[in-house]
Amino acid sequence: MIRGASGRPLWIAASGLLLLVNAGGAALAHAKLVSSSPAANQTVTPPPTSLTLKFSESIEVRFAQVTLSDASGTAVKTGAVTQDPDDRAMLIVPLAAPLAAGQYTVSWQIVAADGHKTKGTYHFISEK
Amino acid sequence: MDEALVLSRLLHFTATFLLLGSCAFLWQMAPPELSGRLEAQLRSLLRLAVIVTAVTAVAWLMLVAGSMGEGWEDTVRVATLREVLLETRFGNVWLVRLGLIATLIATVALGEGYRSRDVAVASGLVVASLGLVGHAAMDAGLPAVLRGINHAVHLLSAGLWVGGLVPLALVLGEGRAAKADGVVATTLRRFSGMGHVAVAVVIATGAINTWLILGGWSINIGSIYQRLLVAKILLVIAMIVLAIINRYAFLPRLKRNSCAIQRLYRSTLIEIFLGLMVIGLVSYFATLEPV
Repeated sequence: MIRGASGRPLWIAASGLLLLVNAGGAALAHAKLVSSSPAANQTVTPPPTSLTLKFSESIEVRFAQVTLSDASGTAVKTGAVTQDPDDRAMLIVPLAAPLAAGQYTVSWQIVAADGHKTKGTYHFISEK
Repeated sequence: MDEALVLSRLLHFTATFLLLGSCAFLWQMAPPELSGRLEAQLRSLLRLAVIVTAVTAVAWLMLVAGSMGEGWEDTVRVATLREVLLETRFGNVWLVRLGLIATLIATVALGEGYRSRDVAVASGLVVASLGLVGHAAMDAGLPAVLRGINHAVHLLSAGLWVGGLVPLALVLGEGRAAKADGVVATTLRRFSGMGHVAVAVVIATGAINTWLILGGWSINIGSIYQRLLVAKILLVIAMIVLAIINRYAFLPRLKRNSCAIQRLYRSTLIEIFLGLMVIGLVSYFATLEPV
């Protein structure tokens, strides 16, 4: 235990640092998909013109892969994956052409800023 | 590939800690009559450590490129390596680190001998820059910068402590044969002074780091990461207990009791072994998901 005047600045600095960097909440996990548009299992009308995927952490967009496939499993052409300039945890995938009605599967694979790779899939239904 | 990354991390931490701790010891703690002799004894080991530092830094980068990409073929694909270096946060930090490692190589490769001070400062920068990657430094903004600084300080103090044990063991090993003289006692006192500060800082920054990564103090024993973190903390506590026994039980008896130096030597070797186990554990579990 540090006592006296000489120890005080150290404790103030230490508790200040703790307050400043206090993260609280849950343990750091690898990046997860937080939300998306269209949302998982959502039925959307009219058909979407782009997909957005919001993750729990910043993403290395250069190593992000998002593929869209229709109910028969055929890949649907999409534009290049880009990152929201204001939010490094948000990916935007423009669609080359309006989607036909039907069920679609989105498969994503991303590398978070900490270098870890995660992947997942979700579905949505497009209606005219 | 995961195993290769763990091995690269283990060798990289060990080599950089050895360089930092040993050269800081030669520069700041060993009196002139001792440091010249120690430096000659350590020279080839420290040169080897510089080579290991450089090789494992490159291997680490290649393995990260492989894991971000599609596996082994991406570890040697120039396009992927370039993308990692220029377009990811890890790569940007690594570019800086490779520059610092080049500086480190220059401090030992240029000229006849080298100055411990230059190697200590260069390897200190190499160790501190590791604080900018990993779980602690994830994300952007001020909190991430503060977390990175905390992690860097943790690594620096750990390196000064554990790396300094190696020249300390050399001094004690020699002191066993001769009668412990004033030079040895002075060196031990100085190392212990630095050791107190380093250990206190290791504990404080380690506690903050744990708090930040786990979001509190409650341990989920189902998580491998958290179980191994507990094991690491227990090993560090064992090291601290040994250090306290060395300092307060054996060191005061050094002049009167010839057995004391023998015991100090043995317990320093055990402390080095425990330190290596700590580095081995963290090389593995810090690559896992903390949850």
